[in-house]
Amino acid sequence: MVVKVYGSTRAACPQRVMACLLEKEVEFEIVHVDLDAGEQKKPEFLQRQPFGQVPAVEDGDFRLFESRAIIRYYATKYAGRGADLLGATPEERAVVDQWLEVEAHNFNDLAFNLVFHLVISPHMGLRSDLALVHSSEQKLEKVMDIYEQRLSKSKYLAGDFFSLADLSHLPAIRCLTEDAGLGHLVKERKFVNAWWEDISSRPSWKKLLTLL
Amino acid sequence: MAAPVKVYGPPLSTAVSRVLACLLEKDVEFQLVPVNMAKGEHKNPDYLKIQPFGQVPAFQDESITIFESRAICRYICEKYADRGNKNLYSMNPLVKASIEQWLEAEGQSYNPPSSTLVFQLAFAPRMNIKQDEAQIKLNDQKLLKVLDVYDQRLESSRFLAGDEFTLADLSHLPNTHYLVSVGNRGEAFSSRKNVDRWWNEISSRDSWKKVVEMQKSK
Repeated sequence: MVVKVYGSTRAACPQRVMACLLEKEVEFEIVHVDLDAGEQKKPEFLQRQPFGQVPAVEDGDFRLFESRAIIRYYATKYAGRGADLLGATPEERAVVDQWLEVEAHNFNDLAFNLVFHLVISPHMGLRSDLALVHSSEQKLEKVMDIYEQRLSKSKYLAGDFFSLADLSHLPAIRCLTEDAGLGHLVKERKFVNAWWEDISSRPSWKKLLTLL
Repeated sequence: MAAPVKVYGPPLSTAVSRVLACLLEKDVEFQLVPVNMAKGEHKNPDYLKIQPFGQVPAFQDESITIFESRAICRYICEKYADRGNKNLYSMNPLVKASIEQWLEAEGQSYNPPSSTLVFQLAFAPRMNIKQDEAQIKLNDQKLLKVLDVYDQRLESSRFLAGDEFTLADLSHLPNTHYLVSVGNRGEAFSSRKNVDRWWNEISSRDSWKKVVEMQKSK
């Protein structure tokens, strides 16, 4: 049974799910949702995801939304297949969760502000809030300093293994470095740079880039 | 018998109270370690060693030191699975998936507008910070839209993830408590039939009542 991922290959949150499914060697099919046309806000899609956001998955009778819930589900379901993205003990899993929560609450909003105002708004012909861009960039620099400190002591965010915590950063950092012109956030930090080089070279991520 | 686990931070903090509610639901004995935020203790080098972002809470037991309230809650539920409320974070994969979905919805859709409103309405006045009327208006609108989604969900489900009270519901307690009490936003909840029923049920739980008492006494 092929997992259906509703979304766009170009959107960060569906990419998070696709990266996980590729790591876990789970076959999936992308059901395109036209975000530019606002398809995600139409009644039919709202039945599937009531907040009007992508992604959502359909796996037989099973349905789920929220990308970080979806990746936790599949990483658990297929724990024995492909790389272990979760951790082998409650303590290891807690540290993975901790850094996944850091991504969700300390990193994501700032990265989103930058991507929205530097990449998405121009694309949609909207005016960008440059004051917000400036303050978000400053705050994100401080967050990346903390990551640099962490990664100077730990090969990956949660420890010595690649986990959901690292994976969750792939879409936004790709966008920040390649589309938003903010590569310096990564390149100016020795350990963050080494970490980014490592995680973005994984075969599953390279495979995903061919789907864009 | 293991020593009580440690929670760093003031009970008034929404994120700290999220962890306290979870510990009480799971019957796990804890010790609250004060962090005086008014004096900037959360930015001291010693504290930054356990929470490098300078935020509360942090958590310590005999095996681990961790931070991020929702990660701490998940750990408590897994580590102390055989204690207290066993439905809080089910082991059943499909039930757990639904809990994760609504816990993420809380974190991604409910928390941003509600925590902004909690800061503006409950904390800014106490800290002599001028309220930002534009932010209040914007986030009120966002909150109402999220509550509409919740009202629809709770029409066909007793709690957010299903028939049982879970971490997904618990995670909403801290911000909502401030919104309906000090924040004067009770009507947003009481005017929505299913949200009203749900809020009354979850906020009446013994564990939450104890947390509210702890907030009053500090």
